[in-house]
Amino acid sequence: MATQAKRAPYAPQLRAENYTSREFARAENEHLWGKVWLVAGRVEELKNVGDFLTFNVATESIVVALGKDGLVAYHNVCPHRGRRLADGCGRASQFRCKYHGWTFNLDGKNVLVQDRDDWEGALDDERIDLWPVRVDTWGGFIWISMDMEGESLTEYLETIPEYLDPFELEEMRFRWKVELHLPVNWKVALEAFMEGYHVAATHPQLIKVAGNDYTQSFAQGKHANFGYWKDVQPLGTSSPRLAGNVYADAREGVIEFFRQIEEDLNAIQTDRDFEAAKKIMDVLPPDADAMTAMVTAIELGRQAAADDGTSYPEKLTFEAMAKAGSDWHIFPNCVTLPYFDGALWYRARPDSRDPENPDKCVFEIWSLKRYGPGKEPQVETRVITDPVNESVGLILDQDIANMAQVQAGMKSSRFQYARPNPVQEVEVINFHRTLERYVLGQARG
Amino acid sequence: MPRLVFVEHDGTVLEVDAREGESVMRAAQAAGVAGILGECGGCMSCLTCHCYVAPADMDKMPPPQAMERELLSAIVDVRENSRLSCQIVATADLEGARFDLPEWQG
Repeated sequence: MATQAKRAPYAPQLRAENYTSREFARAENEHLWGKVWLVAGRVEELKNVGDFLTFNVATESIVVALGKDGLVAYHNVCPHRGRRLADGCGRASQFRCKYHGWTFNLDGKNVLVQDRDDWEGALDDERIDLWPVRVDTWGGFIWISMDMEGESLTEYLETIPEYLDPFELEEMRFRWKVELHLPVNWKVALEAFMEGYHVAATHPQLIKVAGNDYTQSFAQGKHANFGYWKDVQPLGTSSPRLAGNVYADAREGVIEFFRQIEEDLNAIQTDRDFEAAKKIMDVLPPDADAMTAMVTAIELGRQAAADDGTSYPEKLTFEAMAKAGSDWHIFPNCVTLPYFDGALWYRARPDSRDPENPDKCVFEIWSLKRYGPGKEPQVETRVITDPVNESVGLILDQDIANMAQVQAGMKSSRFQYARPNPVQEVEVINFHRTLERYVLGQARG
Repeated sequence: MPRLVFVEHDGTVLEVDAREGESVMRAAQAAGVAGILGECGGCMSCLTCHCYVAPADMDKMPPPQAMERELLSAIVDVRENSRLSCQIVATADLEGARFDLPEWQG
């Protein structure tokens, strides 16, 4: 269980320019993205030798492929005249520049320069191979780092594997993928999911059945987490902010919680969990207490997973889940909310078509789920450029509706800095402290 | 008109009468051989007409030029008998030659 060291009362501040200034965005592009490990995709996206994907961030483009001996990654640029080599994703046994045909094998080595004799041997001393990028995996994600001398992925992740390995994210597969093009800074989009302090005001329907919505949050080195550790109440009960319990029958509250998550979010808990939870009406008496109702629903979910050819992760005990908390920020640009049967994963980036614009980002939402062998669906990314008129479900719509209002509001002449909650919004606070160390060379304030 | 034998990756056999002087890639395309794509038309910029020449038929045709050899080395499932079919010209000598097609082109 997490505990918070006592400290003198303080009111943290976050500079508005971090979100709104073009200069800061340019400094991020120069000092941040090339120095950190980043999620480039999922291991499941590259199944056969020659399968590749591209990952664009700020002004950089990286191509990752499955070579004969495992994953390889390169800067996605032809050393000849600078054309990008690969586009999107696909399968190819070599990278061949569409401009003049220079060709590179999956080891990044140049194997063909058209009319090479024209250089009369002078090319032998020139760099004509692809520039390598470091690549590694954790949690079923492909991670890349452009910093060839930097720390390893394991060092970079710090305590994250200790807390999140029990969730076996590598055993999950895509349930659905959304890519939103938003008129906000990439951090505004990500931070909508980095604290639980907003839930009562932004998602009022949820606090009728989500237990105690009060959160605590903690820095974990560069990364951070939040959870529901104080005056814990079972799922299905009403927030103490409300007078009394909305559902007199605890079973109905639990089912309503799983219904909202399934119908209004479609992630973290799964359709299988919702169907299983409904069975508590049959197996428990009407006067069952809230804790029994929640635990029984979870155990029915575990059984449903087994019946479907999969399982809940063996090492993911209730203790391990309580230790991890509900939500992790993985510096700089990912957030995850993992559960027994599924997980949500968010990834935010500046829009690489206009990389110095602080008011634009590409924001992805990935719903992951454990599937029985061969039962995972073929998933296409749904690209949304008009989130006002295209829904991604009630809960995410409510979050997204805040984003453009935040980006616009922060430009007010009176708004010089944000005033985050020192207990519940430590993920956001720690994010900017760490970010400023990379971008400005030191943490301010 | 030499008769060429194409064997798709799934084992399907297609016998094709090729016009002398055209490339093996074009003969295969005209006959609807699925395992030969030949997207670039034969100028060695797409590498999607890769095939395996039956070892017994290798000496029925001239060996690959330097550029073709270098490009072949960049194909993941390359073998000793790999060729780009766009660089093989159909001649009377090719009568009965067999071309096996890889699982995928790229």
